[in-house]
Amino acid sequence: MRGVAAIAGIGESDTFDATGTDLSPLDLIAQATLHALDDAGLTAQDVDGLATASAYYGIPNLNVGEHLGIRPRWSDANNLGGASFMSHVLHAAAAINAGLAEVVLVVYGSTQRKDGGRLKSIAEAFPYEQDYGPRYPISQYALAAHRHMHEFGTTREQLAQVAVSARAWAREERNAKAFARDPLTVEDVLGARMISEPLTKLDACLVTDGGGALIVTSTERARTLKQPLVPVLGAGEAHWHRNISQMPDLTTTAAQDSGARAYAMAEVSARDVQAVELYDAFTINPILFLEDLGFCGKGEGGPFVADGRIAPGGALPVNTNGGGLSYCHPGMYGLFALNEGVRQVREGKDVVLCHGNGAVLSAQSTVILGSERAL
Amino acid sequence: MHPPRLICPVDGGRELAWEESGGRGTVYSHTTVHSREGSYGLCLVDLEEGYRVMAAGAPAIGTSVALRVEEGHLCAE
Repeated sequence: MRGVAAIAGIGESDTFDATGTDLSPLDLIAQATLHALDDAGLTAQDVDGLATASAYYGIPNLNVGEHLGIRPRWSDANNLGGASFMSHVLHAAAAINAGLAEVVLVVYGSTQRKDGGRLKSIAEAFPYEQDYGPRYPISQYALAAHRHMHEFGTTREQLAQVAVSARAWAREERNAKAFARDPLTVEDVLGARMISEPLTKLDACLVTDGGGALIVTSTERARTLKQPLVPVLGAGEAHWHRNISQMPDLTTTAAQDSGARAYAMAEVSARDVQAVELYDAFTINPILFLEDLGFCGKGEGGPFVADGRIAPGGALPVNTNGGGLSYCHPGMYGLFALNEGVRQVREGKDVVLCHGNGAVLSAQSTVILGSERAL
Repeated sequence: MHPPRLICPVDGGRELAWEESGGRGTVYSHTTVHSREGSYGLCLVDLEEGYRVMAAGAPAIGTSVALRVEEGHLCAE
């Protein structure tokens, strides 16, 4: 399936803060969709496939299809939390390859900031954990962070470097739209309000509103459209658990499997990847994913992210828009990592890896994008 | 295994029986949650019988603990 499909258009809502407006999640979805269609040079009538996930709508494909006037012949409501959208791209490529659809809209929107500033979630309570009061989902990630610190000597300063590097990217001129662009230091992160040890408020992603959309089509069709070709070289998905007490090893995620599957399809390795867009719900995430996706050895993620290696000017560009920590995080960030991956290819990178994470390090989905040269 | 279910998640086995745990184990990880109402710890404990549970309390990782049951909740300290 290498290169059979391509991402032909991307779009995002006009705002990441709908406070004081009457904008609904569907409105932000519509904004993002219009931008993605314009970006590709398509209309809603060209769309014959739809993939979405939501914490607002129980059967979200129906709401989105109705709202946008799309009558899909192929529809995917796969919900793997924030990893959903990487999986949507994989499934869309398979559907296009099978002839079930030709132009697939992958779309997402949320007004969780406007709605009260806490994660909008449809996560059910797990009876064997809920009584102990883990604050979902930060405490689950805090447990993973503590275990990583214990096993490998990872430090809170190294965790903080992830947030500081993300902020430095958000402050780049090209990322004027990023939600958080104030200067940020390691001391700021360490001194922020402690929420669930060892993670402070600034080890946690933003709470924003926002909508995102992208268009997947056949590589053949994409060649006739407006934008430079961004083929999907490979993709893979994996999940091993739902609840944190059921995760076999809190320092090893199913990204090892999703990444291996994506690399195999793309016929590339981590050494070939020129930019990485990781779902950074918390600062521990990029450390785990850089290890599990082969950019460094297991346990080496802390030193790897220190000293600006993943910041602007570093050896490996990671989360070049500022990520969920500084760009935007409307409940689920996965689609925004994909959009940034597309931008990186359009700006000259040949191989870019986008990785999504869902629930509590549970679902892992990886998409590898390439340039025309890499195809 | 824990929690109880009808199929073994490791090998698919179906010949399963209830067993009582001794409650002794080792702290695998922990976190202390800070909120307006105060702070409290929670942890994951690896039981000697080979399964992992969440419990109240935040002893250091690697601490040997004997879980107590208080009002239906597991307590590690």
